[in-house]
Amino acid sequence: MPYTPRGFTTGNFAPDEQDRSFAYAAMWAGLPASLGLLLSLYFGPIPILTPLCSGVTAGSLIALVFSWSHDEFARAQIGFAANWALAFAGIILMWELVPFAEGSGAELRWTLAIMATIFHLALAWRRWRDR
Amino acid sequence: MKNRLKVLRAERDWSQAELAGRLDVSRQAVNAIETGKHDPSLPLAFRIARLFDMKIEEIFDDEG
Repeated sequence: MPYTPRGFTTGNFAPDEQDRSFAYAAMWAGLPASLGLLLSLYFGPIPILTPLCSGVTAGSLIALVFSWSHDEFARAQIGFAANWALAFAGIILMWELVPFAEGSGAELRWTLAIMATIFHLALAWRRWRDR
Repeated sequence: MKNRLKVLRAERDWSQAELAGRLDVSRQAVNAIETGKHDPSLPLAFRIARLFDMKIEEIFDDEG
């Protein structure tokens, strides 16, 4: 059987149906991870669990830029979820512009964790609607 | 938008995953198109039409 590398580094990566379905399903991991991250921020860090939630949450967002396995359907859902997360960012920015509220915003880690959770909740809701 | 994708797939005895593989999309995308939850882009609609050797308007009906 000829060796036909399909890795990202070969320059000819062409995701098949299994890759695309896996990429689609893998995004689900971000929802419990982002919720776990929020709980960790509220109740305090838990060994292993907090770094795991942080890593999966961050990875689920960073991977969006580098994933070639998402098709147009997945991209449409991700775009919907990103709109909600960015709307939240807009609200935070607007709040910072209010003179009497200057400096009263939440800590950056809280803001980002909430933003990531909103993204994954919106994605889950859209997927539930599209099921 | 209504479409005949499920019927055309059934006529060929293809699974959703099999059709997805031929169209270079995920199984979830095929399911969403079949149930009318997702309208395919023009390039994907052309790929679908080419695969079934039909015109786009023979598969998709925007008046449905």
